Amino acid sequence: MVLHWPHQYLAYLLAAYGFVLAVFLSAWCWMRWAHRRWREQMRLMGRR
Amino acid sequence: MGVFRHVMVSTQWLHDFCQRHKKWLLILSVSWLAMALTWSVLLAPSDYQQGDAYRIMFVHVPCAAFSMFFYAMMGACGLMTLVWRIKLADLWMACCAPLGFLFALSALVTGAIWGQPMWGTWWVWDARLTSELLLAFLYVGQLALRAHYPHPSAAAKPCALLAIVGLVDLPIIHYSVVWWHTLHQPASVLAFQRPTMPGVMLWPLLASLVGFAFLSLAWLAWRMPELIEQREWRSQWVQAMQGQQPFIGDT
Repeated sequence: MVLHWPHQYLAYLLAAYGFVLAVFLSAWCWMRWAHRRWREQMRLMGRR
Repeated sequence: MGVFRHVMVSTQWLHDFCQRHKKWLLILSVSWLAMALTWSVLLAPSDYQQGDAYRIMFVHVPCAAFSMFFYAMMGACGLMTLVWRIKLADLWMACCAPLGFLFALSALVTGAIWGQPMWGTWWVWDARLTSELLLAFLYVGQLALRAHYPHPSAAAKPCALLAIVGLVDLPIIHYSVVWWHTLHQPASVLAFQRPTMPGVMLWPLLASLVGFAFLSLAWLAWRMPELIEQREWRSQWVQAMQGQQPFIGDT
């Protein structure tokens, strides 16, 4: 393994990877939630 | 031409196609990204000057590249919306805007996190950084403009215009490191001569780029059917798919 633990730059590396992961995960969850909410609104509008 | 016609004209075909392929695309993208990032963090060698901090590049570069790619795609779709009034081109624009914004935001933040240990500052008003920030603002403008209109189809024309006007930022971002003296380094992967990066670092970077490309495809494949359903909710095929009775008066 090339990466040396612990390393002074490791915090920056983890912060960068963690940020991208968090941003994409939350956007994904928001996307799912928004569409579910829209479907629920359609259902409540009496489309059944 | 046949595939283009399907992807740009037939909403029902595109909806079914995305629904059929979205799950395996997501699995492929997550496993590919896990492989690529493991390769880049654990197997690629450390940089002799930057140590392990340079590994931020494996997410920063794909995010920056795709933020520009999706804006170019939005511009092309904007042109198709204005010239040929293709309804699906507007839907592609609506689908790409949040994804492109996520990439632009990630590129800016990972760049700042990389800049702090390497340049000694989180941010400078450097030409590359400022033009990328402008791109993020263009995405925000696109999202805000679309949200402003209560009826989605009314937003098509202004959003297309904004997307086309904003295209001017793309060459500025790309050539900013050539035209001005910037703190940001010049291009090292898309250089017209050979890439200035050794293969042991270039290959995991390319793998990461492919992983983010799959992730983008998965995003589009999940989001596009939802947008089609929302736009075409009066269509009989959407109502039949959701197991609902059509509206009284609908044909």
